[in-house]
Amino acid sequence: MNDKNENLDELLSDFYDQHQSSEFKNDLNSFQDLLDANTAPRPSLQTIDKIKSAIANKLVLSQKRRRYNFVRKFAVAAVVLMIAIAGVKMVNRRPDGQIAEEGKAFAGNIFDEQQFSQTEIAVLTREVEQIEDSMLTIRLDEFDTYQSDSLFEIETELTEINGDFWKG
Amino acid sequence: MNEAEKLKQIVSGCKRGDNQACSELVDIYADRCYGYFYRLTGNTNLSNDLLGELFLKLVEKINTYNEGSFNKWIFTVASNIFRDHLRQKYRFKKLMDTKISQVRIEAMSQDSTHGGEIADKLEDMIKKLDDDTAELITLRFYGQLSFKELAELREVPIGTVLSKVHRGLKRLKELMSASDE
Repeated sequence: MNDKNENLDELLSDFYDQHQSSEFKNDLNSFQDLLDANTAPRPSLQTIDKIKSAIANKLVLSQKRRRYNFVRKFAVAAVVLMIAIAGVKMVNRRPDGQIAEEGKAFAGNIFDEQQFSQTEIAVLTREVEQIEDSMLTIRLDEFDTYQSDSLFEIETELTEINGDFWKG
Repeated sequence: MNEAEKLKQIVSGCKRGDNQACSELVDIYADRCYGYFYRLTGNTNLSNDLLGELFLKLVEKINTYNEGSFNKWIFTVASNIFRDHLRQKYRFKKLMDTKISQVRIEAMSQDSTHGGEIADKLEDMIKKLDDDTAELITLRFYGQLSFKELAELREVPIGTVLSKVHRGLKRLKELMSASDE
């Protein structure tokens, strides 16, 4: 075994005869001697210091980045956890079977709170129906972009509903 | 504590982002890696740049090293950096792959002129080998890589590596004899 953790004799004997193996080994040794006699220059101390300082800067930057990522992930996890806990508490507070009813009541309350008049609800319902008709037309490929401006109408209706809805 | 254990500790330190461990890694490998770059480029300034790039890359990629020879890993990165340098310089990868020897000789002659230094006799001889053989020999002697590791690094059969190194050494011997006459 040599310092490269290999059995050179065994390795060479698999590929070469004894004469070639010994010649190869001699060539390897001669070249090593040649390198020892003509050593390559070494990097200057200045270069080494420069490299070490660049590494130190890189490590500081990557630590900062790791901390920032950790804080960001922690904040997201905290928000998700809070929402999850609030959800679980809401569900646990109510007996089984009442959740669906509670949901309906909750939806109803929203409309009550918004205090929509019957007329406003009727107008909104009509507009939703119109949109559904338009969507059906598009789905059935009856929509002609050159002859109809249904798409424009849908957009206008959506904008109107959006404005009206939030005005209450 | 033996050298292998010490190196293992240093590598673990580098993985944790320990600056001291990284400095020790530089102290251990700087000479050999610099020798590797210098023998291939024949230029001190360029070798300094490549050495800096190598250690920054090592710190960045240290977590990708898991098991096996650290020597092989570090010189694989060094070899990739050298090849990237050639690619960046000449941009066209295809051209580099097919005419790598020609490109390398041109790059070295240009670098030698800029560096204001005359490459020693050994570099001249190594330059006359084909690129792959020159790099294999340099990796063998500066990277201290076994033939098996060289074969794995190049993804070729071990017999191919042996034959290239053998032919390369013979050629170097001939060139040295010719220059002595």
